[in-house]
Amino acid sequence: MADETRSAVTAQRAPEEDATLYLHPATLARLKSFELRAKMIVEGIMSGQHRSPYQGFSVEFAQHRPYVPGDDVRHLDWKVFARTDKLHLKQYQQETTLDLIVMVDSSGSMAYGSRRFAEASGIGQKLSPRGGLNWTKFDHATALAAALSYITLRQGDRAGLVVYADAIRAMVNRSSAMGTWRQVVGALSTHPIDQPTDIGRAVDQMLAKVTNRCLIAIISDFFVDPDQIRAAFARVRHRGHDLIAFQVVDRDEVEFDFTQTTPFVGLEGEPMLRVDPRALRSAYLEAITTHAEQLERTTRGFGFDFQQVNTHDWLGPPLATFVARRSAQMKRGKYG
Amino acid sequence: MTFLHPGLALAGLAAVAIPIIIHLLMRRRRRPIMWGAMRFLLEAYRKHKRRLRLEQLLLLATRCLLIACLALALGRPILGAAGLLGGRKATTLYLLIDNSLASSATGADGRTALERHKQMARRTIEQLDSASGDRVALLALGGPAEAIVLPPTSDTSAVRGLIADLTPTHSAMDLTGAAERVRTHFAETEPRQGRAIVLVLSDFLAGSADTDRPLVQLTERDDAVVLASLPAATGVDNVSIESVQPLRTVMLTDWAAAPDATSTSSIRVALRRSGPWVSRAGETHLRVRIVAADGREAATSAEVAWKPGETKTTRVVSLSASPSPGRAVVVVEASPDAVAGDDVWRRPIEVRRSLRVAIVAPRRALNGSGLNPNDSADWLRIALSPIVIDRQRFTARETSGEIDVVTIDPGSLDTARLADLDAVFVTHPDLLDGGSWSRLRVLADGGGLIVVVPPSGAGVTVWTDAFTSAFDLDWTIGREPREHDPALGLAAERSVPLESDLLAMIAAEFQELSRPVRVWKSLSISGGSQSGSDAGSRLVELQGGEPFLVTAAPGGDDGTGVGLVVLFASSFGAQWTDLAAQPIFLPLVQEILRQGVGRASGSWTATAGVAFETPAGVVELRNDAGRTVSLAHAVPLRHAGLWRAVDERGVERGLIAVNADPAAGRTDALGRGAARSWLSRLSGAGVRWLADDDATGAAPVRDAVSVSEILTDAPDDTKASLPLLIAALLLAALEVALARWFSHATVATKAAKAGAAA
Repeated sequence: MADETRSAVTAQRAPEEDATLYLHPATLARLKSFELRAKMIVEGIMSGQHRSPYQGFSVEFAQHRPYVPGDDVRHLDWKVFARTDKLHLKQYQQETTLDLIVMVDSSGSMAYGSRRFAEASGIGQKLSPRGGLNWTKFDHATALAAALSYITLRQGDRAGLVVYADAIRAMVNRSSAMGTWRQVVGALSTHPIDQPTDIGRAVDQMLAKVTNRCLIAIISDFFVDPDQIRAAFARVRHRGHDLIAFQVVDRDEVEFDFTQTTPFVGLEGEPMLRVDPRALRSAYLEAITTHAEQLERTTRGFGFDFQQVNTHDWLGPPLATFVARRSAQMKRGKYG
Repeated sequence: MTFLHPGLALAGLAAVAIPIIIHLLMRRRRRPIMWGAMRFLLEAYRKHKRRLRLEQLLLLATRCLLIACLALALGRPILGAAGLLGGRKATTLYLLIDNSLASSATGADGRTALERHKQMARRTIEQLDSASGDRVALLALGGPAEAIVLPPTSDTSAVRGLIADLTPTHSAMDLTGAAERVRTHFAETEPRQGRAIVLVLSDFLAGSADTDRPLVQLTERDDAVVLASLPAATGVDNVSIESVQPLRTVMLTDWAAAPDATSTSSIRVALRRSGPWVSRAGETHLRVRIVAADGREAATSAEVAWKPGETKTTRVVSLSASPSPGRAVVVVEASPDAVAGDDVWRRPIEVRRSLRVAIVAPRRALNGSGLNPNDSADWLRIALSPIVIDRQRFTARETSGEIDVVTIDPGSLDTARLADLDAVFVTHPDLLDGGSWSRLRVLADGGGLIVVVPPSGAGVTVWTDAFTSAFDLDWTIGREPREHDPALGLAAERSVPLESDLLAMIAAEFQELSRPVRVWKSLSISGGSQSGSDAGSRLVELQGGEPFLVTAAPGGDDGTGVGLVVLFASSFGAQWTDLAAQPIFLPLVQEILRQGVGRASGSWTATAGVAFETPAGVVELRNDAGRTVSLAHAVPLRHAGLWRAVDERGVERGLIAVNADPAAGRTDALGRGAARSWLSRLSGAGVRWLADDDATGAAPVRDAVSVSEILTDAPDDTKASLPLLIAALLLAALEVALARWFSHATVATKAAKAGAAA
């Protein structure tokens, strides 16, 4: 009886525990180096990280944090050093609030994946928590979102999460507590729905709940009308937020190397189409490439960042890009 | 357009559906892919939808066309009068080979005519070229003509095998029937393709070429050539048995009385000789046997001497035999000659211990042996059984050796009493009702003899309607007897052929015996045949030509060809005629009974190649060799032999002897002129003689032509298969190119390479 009860408890694992599957061990392993790299950046290059745009007006002490190379030595608390023989910085309220809001697309098109889950998860588990055999774009997006949140929270910044499709489906308010990461992972433990993306509506709903400036990371395949994306990004820009667009694509979607005449069924309710893929390959690739280029142009046109993420690649490059680009922008004084 | 292999062409054309079926099957087999980037795929598809459909249609059309071209090419089409791949026009050879009785005549070289015909046919076929579209049809001329291979085939090797299997029949050549078949074929296949050669291989002996049967013109096309082998220059010596006629077709042997008793049968054998030896004297040895059902046989021999110029003769052979009751066979064999098939003749006969006869007459009021001179029944009893012994009170039964006589009251004429009777004499037909007549009809249909004598009384006769209706006779019988004053005698001369005459045995004495007969009253009988035949005949006439004694077989739809009805025009009463009191009466009645029963039961002989009747209820024929012929597919039998007629229960209903056609055994040479004249009807362009390419030492025939000359003379014409094959090859190349182009494999490869380079 006791064994049965234990088995039942084991089977009903908490969502956040299941969500850890999205974090490839390799990715998690990389995270430490990112953190270290971040520390190196902060200590060696970004002295005095996250310069507050409100510096000079509000210097309310918030907390101490360990010194990392690169920090402005002017903010060293020498008194603490004298007592503990350790270097600590004094942090102020505005300087410590890098609010990251990760928006994860859970529309139907994100349910596609050609990579085996067992190979992508890295832990030998053949089925995803949702029972799928494949590592979908949504799986990749949630892993990326979790990693971004983790990094942010480990740096002491606030992280929040929005899961959306045609509207916001789930949301985690921003917080810098490490428990937030578990909430984020728990919110990510969902699945795509058979609905198209309405990024404009989701962004509007998100912006309605955000008052201060944030860094918004949108993780989506962006298989929507470019005008809709442009309008959404414009509103983000207008509100003074920064944005990074991670476009998650599957290798099949960008290579389209099918060879047999096959019926294709849309994941967002599109009609079935039976075609010879070889006959449509060039036209398809042209369409999807044009869309990606247009998306990148639009994103960069607003001064935002754009990164295409392939589900068959590991999460290191986008994370590195994220940290590097953020660091560079911080260096340029984007927030200062 | 026609095809050498229409089946192959049809199958190939049906194969056109294969690409479509594969396409449909492939559509079903693929599992759908749930696709995320559908909007881009739809966008690409919308842009190229028309092009893709056009590509698919082009590819499908190309593949279907490719298969269709291959199928048509394999089907070997013939366009117009065109040949195919060969260098000359396609030729269809119609081989008409004489395998009739005369073709079995052995020549001086020891080979039969049929063997020579078969060799010639094989040599001719070898000159054909199937690849050029040549085809061959085969018809055997042994009557009735048999279309062995028609429509023609290009499988010449199979036809050669069928030619090798040809055997001579015992029937006459049926060139008329074969010509009708070929003409019908021509008419059904118009417009024919290529050249047609009709080759008739025969020696055209008198037995083969029935010049009395006109031939039909095969076709009006001028490119149809009719060739015939050269008629034999000389005939061969042959004797044919034309007929075997036992003077009694029923042999009576009283085994109970004397187991060792023998009966003497007289058998008339008619012979005909033909060939060069007709001009000389000659001899023929005859062996006559009577083979009983139990296998015992009695035999005798006879010699026939032929005078110079004599072609026909008849010989009566007497043979003592004691066969067991049942069916026996008279077998006559002539000494062997060039044609063996007509040297044997078989004739089934009936062997009985006794004949059972009923006289249908009312029971006499006084029991006794006194004779009532006005009662026909009394006269008949005396004639049938001179010693009368009453054994029963109500149905007197008389026994006189070979004839058992019973008397049946007209009111008690039921089926049981008629069951085992051979003959019934009706002396009071006016006392029979319709049911009685129907039962008598059943007896006649089963092979019984019915003899009807008018009643003695005067007055209007009304029974005749029921009588003629029951037996489906077309006689018209007067209502009242016609009185003759002065009395008429019987006509001395009779025109009935001996073969079918019931009175053959007394024919020689008939004139003398009939002279004192006087007839004062008789019924007028008209209708029916005026001459002798199986259907009906006047056996005896009165002076002045009125019929006195007539016979007929029961007619109508129920007629089975058996049974016999005999009608006297006068009663035997003293007021009608004194026939019964004259010496001729007893032999007349006895002969009518004995011969009539034989005739009524059916002789069951047939001539090879001629349709014949079978006993009622027979469904198939079986011979001792185990061969079975179903009458549902009744065809005249081409080979002589004995056949047992079997009904659907497997019970033997009779024995049928099929004998060689005596006319087919005439082996006199017909001559080229007569043969050409006869054959010329086959074609408007006339008939050309076939030159034997391999004949060595023979004098060349002036207007003869060989098949090879005709074949090489045929000009080249349009070819159909080659262009189709070329078209198929071009289509195959086009299909490969289109498939590769439309599948965008090249583009994909380039893109892949470009991606790899990047």
